[in-house]
Amino acid sequence: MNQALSTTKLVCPQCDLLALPASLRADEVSRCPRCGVELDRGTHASREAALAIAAAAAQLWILMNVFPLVSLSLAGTRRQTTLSGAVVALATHGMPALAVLVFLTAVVVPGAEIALAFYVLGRLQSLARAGALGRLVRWFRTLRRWSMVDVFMLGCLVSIVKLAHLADLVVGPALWACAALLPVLAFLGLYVRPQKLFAGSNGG
Amino acid sequence: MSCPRCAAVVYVRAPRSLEKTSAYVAAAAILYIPANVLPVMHSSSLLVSQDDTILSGVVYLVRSGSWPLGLLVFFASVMVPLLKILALGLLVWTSARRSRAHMLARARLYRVVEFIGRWSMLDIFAVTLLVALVRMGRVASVLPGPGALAFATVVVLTLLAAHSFDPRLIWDAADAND
Repeated sequence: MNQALSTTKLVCPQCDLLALPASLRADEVSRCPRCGVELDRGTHASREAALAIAAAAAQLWILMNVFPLVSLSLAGTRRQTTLSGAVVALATHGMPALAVLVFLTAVVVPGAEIALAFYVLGRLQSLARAGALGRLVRWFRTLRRWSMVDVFMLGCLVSIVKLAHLADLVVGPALWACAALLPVLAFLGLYVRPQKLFAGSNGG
Repeated sequence: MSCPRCAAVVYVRAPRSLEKTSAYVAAAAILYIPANVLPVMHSSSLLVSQDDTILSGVVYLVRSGSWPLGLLVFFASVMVPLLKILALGLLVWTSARRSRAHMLARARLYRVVEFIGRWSMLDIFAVTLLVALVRMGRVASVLPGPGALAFATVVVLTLLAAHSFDPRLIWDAADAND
């Protein structure tokens, strides 16, 4: 595990080229010399900063799911919906499969991603010793592929614009929390990566 | 064989990558037509009732003055899935033929496909919110249409297709004669 950087080689995940890893300063990016895929990204971040970010992400996720997204006033009636309420509405209006997909990509997977990041960051050293770290980081990557909070945000914006012409709309706390969650999740992904975590767990 | 660090199964190349990707792409291509032809949304009010496809939704946005958003939805919902299908088809075909042409461009194309795929879910989330909000019985209501299910399936299939393609296959032709 504790090999000197100069003897460790990297295999490019997208073109199989052997390369030597570089130690990066923050804001530097290393790319495969043949196919250009990003191999590593430098960051100032510490494990403590990442934990704080994960905590922020957890709070924002809770806000996003508990509070209403938007409230609509039309013909004297006011209606508002939470994220889960919207999922239930889809299910009861004849599209349970779609409801499950939305629920997974907008609620469950982001929540799992945050919880897993928390767990990994909190128990980094003991996980590394037990050899369980790699598996969990791999899970994190899989979760990230299906986490669609950013697309959800934009989808909400589109429907808000569509409705704004017809009715009175008020953006709810959940949507603001969703917007705030986007950069937070982006940062989390920057730190919860094999390159960063394995270096961190060796050096502390 | 599995990785000693993360327990992932290690393959020289992802098994049957081209077959799986082709299957997903073909299925997505077939469903692309009903996804765009069938209505994704059925909205009704006291006076009028209408079915909306993805394209008519775009037209509505443009006509009501939000043409940037209309353009965005058009791009994300109509163009992106189509381009993904075509791009992945091209990638599979050129890799199967062990083509040595434009490998870097193809690698970049793959990365674009990978990155951009999830944004096609845009319309699905938009419909979700509309259905949930506009629920005033006969005064105004929005219901999801069969096109939405077809469209969601197309998006999921293209996401699976992009994931099942092993980009290292692009470069295999380069290493073969070295």
